[in-house]
Amino acid sequence: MIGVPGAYLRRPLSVFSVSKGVVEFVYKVVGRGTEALSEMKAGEEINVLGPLGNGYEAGLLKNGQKPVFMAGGTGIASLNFLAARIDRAGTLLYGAKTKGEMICLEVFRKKGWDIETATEDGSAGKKGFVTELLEDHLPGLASGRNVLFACGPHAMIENAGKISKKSGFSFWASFEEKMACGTGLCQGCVTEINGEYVRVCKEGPVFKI
Amino acid sequence: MANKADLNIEVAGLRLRSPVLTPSGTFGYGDELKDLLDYGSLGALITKTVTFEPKKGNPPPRTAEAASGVLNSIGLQNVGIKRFVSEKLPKIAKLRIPVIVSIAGQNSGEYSDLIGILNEIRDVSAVELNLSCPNLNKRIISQDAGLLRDIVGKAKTASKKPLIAKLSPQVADIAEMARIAEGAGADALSAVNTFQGMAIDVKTRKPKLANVTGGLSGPCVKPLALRCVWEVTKAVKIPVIGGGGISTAEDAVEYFLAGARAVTVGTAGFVDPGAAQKIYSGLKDYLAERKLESLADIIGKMEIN
Ligand SMILES: Cc1cc2nc3c(=O)[nH]c(=O)nc-3n(C[C@H](O)[C@H](O)[C@H](O)COP(=O)(O)OP(=O)(O)OC[C@H]3O[C@@H](n4cnc5c(N)ncnc54)[C@H](O)[C@@H]3O)c2cc1C
Ligand SMILES: Cc1cc2nc3c(=O)[nH]c(=O)nc-3n(C[C@H](O)[C@H](O)[C@H](O)COP(=O)(O)O)c2cc1C
Ligand code: FES
Repeated sequence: MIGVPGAYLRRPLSVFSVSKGVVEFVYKVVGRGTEALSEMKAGEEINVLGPLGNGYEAGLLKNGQKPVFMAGGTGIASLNFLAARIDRAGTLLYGAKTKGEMICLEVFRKKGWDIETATEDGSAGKKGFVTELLEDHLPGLASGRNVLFACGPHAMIENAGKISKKSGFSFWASFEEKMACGTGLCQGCVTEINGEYVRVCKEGPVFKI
Repeated sequence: MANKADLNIEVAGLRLRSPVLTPSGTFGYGDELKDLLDYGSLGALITKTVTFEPKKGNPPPRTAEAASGVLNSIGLQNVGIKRFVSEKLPKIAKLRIPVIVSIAGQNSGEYSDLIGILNEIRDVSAVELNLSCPNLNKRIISQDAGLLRDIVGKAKTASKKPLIAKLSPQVADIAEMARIAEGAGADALSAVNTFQGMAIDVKTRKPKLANVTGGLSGPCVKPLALRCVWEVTKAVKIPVIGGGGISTAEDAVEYFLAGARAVTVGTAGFVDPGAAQKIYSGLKDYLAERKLESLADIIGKMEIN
């Protein structure tokens, strides 16, 4: 959770990368808070509360299993962090509104990942939603040869959930909900899992579904 | 100079080592901040309101930012009294802070049943009645003098524990409601609960809360809540736990000067998990700098002209 000048609540952001002495975040300007962040100058301080919640379990890939990442928009941030912590390359399915909003492609390519893209305006890859790219990978996922990690908007995760149910596999998904505290205090950030509302900031944001 | 100011306080027969409490619904299940907050700075923990049956709560979004505050419509999500007692309470008790259990019912019978269960549990120091919820006839208890008298009275008869009645600020005359709760047997009062509000997303024209309306808390309500607390402390003899928007030790001092015996820090902890601890040590400093020995030297000591 990042303290933002002029806004009362902190803003939830995923860690994009960690290297010696540097923690990076990547965000899209969508409203007041992210706009204020973007206007800060180099050298100004921000107040960060974190890391919070449960991430993807690195090291859960068994021998021979390959990762499939599905990123929607800024969902690429947490998957980039995960990619740095797993020992093998896989396939990145990446969807965004338009080509200009895609980042990190070079980083994944250099590490030997296969990349498939989709954009809503057709400016890169398939015209449409990233969930449509999942189609070709269903056999691998259903047989357990591949493991899916997904991060993106609610609609994307929900669609992926429907597909996974039909094809009979479970996957790791990182959820986004409005957050007031990020530490489990307010019970505000809930999402419904198995008929019960659970806190995304505390029990998640990554859930196995 | 050693800071010897004494922050012990007695509220409704409970001796508390700190006057800083966490109000209902703003402190998770209790142990969330164990790495981020010195729990020694807390005098007591008031639990999330528990109901007889489990409650699923409202759909998200449940919170929305306001200018210097938060709107929430959690919808009293809780696991119900049975699971609360068997699963949650033992964990809260391990924190070694007095536990005040907040309860809500749909009628006086349900309040009494909840109290009957809590009476038998040693780890429960006191019971707080959340009265800002609708009863079966959709009337808000804390806004209805007759209902308030009836429910507090019957709860008092049922309870072996100290009983705290939590008041809603949204009444024409909060002093009158405070007198009614006192007359019906409350051992202390909590003032105040949240203020109803709403917010609309102008891009989508949708309400920012799925429930449309919700309770407003945080710094933006402090002047409103402080006025309520002052009205209440003037009207009753029983102790008053004051809160609403407290984020700094100065805020807390204002509540003490207005007559509160203890204070609650809720929303401030969302933004700064260490808020309660800073307020606790800030209070010590405030007393020490003025060579005051205890909170009694500031409680109700506002000087008008
Ligand atoms: C676990 C998690 C990780 C995230 N990681 C990233 C990331 O790495 N990069 C990135 O660009 N974005 C990320 N987001 C989304 C990001 O939090 C929002 O875009 C941001 O809070 C918007 O703030 P704002 O003030 O600019 O927008 P406003 O719309 O003005 O914000 C108003 C309120 O709504 C909340 N809000 C608005 N959109 C979202 C959203 N999509 N999710 C949660 N809360 C929202 C804000 O936090 C704020 O409280 C993440 C969200 C979550 C929950
Ligand atoms: C997210 C949230 C949940 C709350 N839940 C409850 C509740 O279950 N019962 C209750 O009596 N008050 C509840 N409250 C009200 C608080 O206990 C407190 O009275 C109010 O927030 C004002 O104090 P603050 O500004 O310090 O937060 C809740 C407040 C918030 C912000
Ligand atoms: S944001 Fe408060 S519980 Fe998750």
